[in-house]
Amino acid sequence: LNPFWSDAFVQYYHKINPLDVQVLAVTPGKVLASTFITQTDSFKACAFYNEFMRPQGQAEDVGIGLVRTPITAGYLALQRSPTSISLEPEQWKLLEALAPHLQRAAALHEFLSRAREATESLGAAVAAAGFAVFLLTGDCRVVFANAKAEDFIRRGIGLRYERGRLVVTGPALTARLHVLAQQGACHKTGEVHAGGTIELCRSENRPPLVAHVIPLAPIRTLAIFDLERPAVAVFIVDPAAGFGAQIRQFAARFGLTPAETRILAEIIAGNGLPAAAARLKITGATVRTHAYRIFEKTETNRQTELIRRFFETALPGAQGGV
Amino acid sequence: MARSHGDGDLIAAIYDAIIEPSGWDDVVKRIVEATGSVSGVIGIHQVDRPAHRIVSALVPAVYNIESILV
Repeated sequence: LNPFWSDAFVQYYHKINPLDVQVLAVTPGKVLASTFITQTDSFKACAFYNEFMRPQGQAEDVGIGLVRTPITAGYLALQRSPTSISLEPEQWKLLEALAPHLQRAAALHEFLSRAREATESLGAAVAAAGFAVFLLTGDCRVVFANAKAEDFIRRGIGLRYERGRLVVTGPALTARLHVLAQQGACHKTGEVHAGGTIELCRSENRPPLVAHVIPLAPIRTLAIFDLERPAVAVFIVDPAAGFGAQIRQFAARFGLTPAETRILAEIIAGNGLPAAAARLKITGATVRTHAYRIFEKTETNRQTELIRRFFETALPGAQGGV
Repeated sequence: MARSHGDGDLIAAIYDAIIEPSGWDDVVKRIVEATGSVSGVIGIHQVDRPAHRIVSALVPAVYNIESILV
């Protein structure tokens, strides 16, 4: 291999390549010889042939179309020698047999690349938000898990995979998770369920993990995935871990007071309002007043909606709904 | 030429490359060898169809030729 030729092509010869016509013309899944170009007197007299192809022992290009869009053209090119310009009939038949498979594979490859790119972007954004998150289909199959979520699975803390589905500790909680996922997949007349919260037990001296199950609006799921549409996002919150930055960011966005921010943190940590009152050493009436003001400021009506609104900020591109 | 078995392997390699992109180089190599060609390249080109010209190209797989990025 001689890098001189690739440098020469990049620097100059791609600009005067008469075979560009073939790349632009070839149909995906079809085989196209270039002899109608390369075996002409004008081609054999051109600089591209004499200065670029011939010194490399190339006399002909046979191509298979792979992808064709308004702005792209994918092409498999085979360079032929002067002593073997044309393909043997068996070789031509082989290319014709392979061409539809190459076309299909190229299309799938492109699709998967786009899906992977979207997934990785989503994962990076959600990871940056600092929470573990799973995206599940309506029957709890795991479409996506970010690095923090995979870490919970690896460490066997409250969650595991079973035949590709997310399972939590205990059959009752698993059944609850599956009901929430099914509800998330049900979009009758545009209705979106508010979701729910599940506590995941772990060792006795550690507080349970809190799993907030947030239904995904259908428009978002369509925009991100085409194959397996996620119905819900499951955000895992470890109350023992600090997530003050996200709480403060959300509080600043909606203008919450310090007292309201403390109540918000209790709700996100999975504590109900009575427990929040006990932990913060204030009355139940005071907690309810703060909660009511939080709902007003965040334009929500209940805790599940508030939790949903909180995690909206963790998903990229979220505007009106997750 | 033992068409059916060899072709089957090559077709399998094509679909394997969807999952493992590094497999495209081997696919190109095997097609080059099976057709007695000098070299082979897969190019994904950005094109300006109204102007009928190639704007740029990525080369995800090559065999017996230098990788070219225009």
